[in-house]
Amino acid sequence: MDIANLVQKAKKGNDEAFEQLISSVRPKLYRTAYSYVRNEQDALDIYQETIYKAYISLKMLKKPESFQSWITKILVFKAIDFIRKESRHFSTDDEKIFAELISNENVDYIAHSMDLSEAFKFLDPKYKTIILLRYYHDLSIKEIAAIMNYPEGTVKSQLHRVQKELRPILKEGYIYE
Amino acid sequence: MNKENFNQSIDNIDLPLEKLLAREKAAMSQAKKMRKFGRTTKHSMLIACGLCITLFGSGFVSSGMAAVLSNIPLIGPIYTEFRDIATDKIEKDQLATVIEKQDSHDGLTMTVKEAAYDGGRLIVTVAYSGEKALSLKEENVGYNYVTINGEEFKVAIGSGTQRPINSKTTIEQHQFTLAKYNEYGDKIEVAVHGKDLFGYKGKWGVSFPLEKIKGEIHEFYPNVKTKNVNEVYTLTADKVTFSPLSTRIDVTVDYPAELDENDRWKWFDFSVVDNNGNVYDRLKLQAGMAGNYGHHMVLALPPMDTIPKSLTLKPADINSERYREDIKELELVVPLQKTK
Repeated sequence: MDIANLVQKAKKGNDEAFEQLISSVRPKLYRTAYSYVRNEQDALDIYQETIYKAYISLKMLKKPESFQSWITKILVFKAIDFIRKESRHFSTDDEKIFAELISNENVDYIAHSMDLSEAFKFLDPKYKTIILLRYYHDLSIKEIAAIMNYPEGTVKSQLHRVQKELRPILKEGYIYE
Repeated sequence: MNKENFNQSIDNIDLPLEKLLAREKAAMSQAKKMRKFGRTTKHSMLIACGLCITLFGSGFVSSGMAAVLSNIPLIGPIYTEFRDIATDKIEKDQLATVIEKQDSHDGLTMTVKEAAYDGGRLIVTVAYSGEKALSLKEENVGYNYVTINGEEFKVAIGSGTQRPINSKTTIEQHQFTLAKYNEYGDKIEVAVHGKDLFGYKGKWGVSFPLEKIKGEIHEFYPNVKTKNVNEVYTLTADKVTFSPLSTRIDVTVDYPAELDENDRWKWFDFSVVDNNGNVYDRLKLQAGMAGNYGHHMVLALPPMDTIPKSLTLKPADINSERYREDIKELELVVPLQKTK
C-alpha cells in the first residue's frame, strides 16, 4: 500500500483513498485508544473523534509518508483530553504536569508489579502514551518528542527512568536508549 | 515479560470491526456536513455583504482564500468538539445567542461568537485569529478572563478549552457553573478580557448584554441526608434545579471542621443514576465546590426534557489498592416529587 499516494488522493477529496488509509491503521489506532480508557464505548468515541479530525485536517499534513504517526498523534491527544475531561481537570498542557505525573509513587508501583501489561492499566495517561508510542508503535525518541511537543532530552530521560525501574519486568528485549 | 509480550497484550484487545466501520462512516459524514456548512456560509456572505472579511481559515478552505464571518451561529460541529454537558441541547434547540462582536488591533482579532446563559450556567465561545501564526507556547499564550456586570464572579465549576482551526486561528470555549444559582438574574452584561495573547502584545476586550434563555426551570428541595457508618461524612441533597443548560444538584457535605486545615477533607467521585437506570458520569457529570473547602458541592448533569422520579447519588473513593470503590453507606436517593 503506497501511503503517500493514498494521502495525495485523499487530500483531493477521494473518500475511497481515505478509507484505505484508515484501514491501514485501524487495528493499532483502536487498540491504542482502548489502552487508555479500558472500555469499548469510550474507545470508540475517541476513535471516531480521531477519524473526524483526520478527515477535516488532512490537507494540513505536510509529509504524506508520515500519515501513521500523524494520525496517532491526533488520537493520543484526543485520548488524553478525554481522560482529563473525565477527571474534571481543567485542560492545560505543559511539561510540569508531565513531570508530576511520573511521580515516584507511580513508578514504584509499576516496579513492584509482576506484570507490565497489568501495571500498564494503572499508569497515568501521559505515561501510558510514552510507553505505547515507544513499544507498541515503535516510534523513535525524535518522533515521540515531535508528537508530544517536548524536548528530546525530556522524552529520553523519562523513558530511561521508566526502563530502569521496569528492568526486572522487561528482562528480554530490553533496549538501552 | 518483555516488549513482545507487552505488544501482544495490546494486540489481544478485541477489534469490534463492524462498530469501527460504522464510526468511521459517521465521522466522515459529520466532517462532510461541516465542510458543506463552511462553504455555504462563505458564499452567502460574499453575496450579501462582501465587506466584513476576517481570516477564518479552515482545513478545507484552500490556502489564500479568506472565509467570511457569518451571522449564522456556529452550533453543531463546534459545540460537539467541546463536549459540554449541554452540547446536544444547545445544538437541538439552538439555545445560543449570536454575539459576533470583536476587538481587533495589533494583528490579532478577538471575536465573541456566541454565548448562552440560563441563570446557573454561562457558556461563551470566542475565536482568535491573527495576521501571523498564533504562538501556543506557555510564555506567549497570555491570559484571558470573563466578567459578569464588570466583576469577576464565583464559580463552582469552570473550564476553558481551545480548538485550533489552523496556525492562525483558534476557537476557545468558556464553560461556567455559577457558585450561586441565579445570582445575577435575567439580564447580565458579559465581558471577555484578554492580555498579551498568543504572542501578540496588548489588551483586548469585548462586552455584550446577555439574557437568560427562555425555558422552563423546575426546582426541588428534597432535603434528604445520609450518614456514613463511621459518622465522619454526611451528605445532604439541598436542591435540584432543572434548567435549559443543566440539571444541577446542590449537596451539603458535613465533616469535622479540623479536616478543613490543609484541605484534608475527601472529594468524593460521584456518579448519578436516575430511576430509569440512566447513568450520569464521566462526560455526563461535572462536579465542583462552591465556596471554600468542601462543604458545598455542585453536581452538574446534562439538561433533561423529562424530569425523573428520583436521582441516586453514588459517591466513590479510591481505596488503598488504587481501585475506585463505591461507598454504599453514602448513597443517597433524591426523590423529585414535591416543588417549593
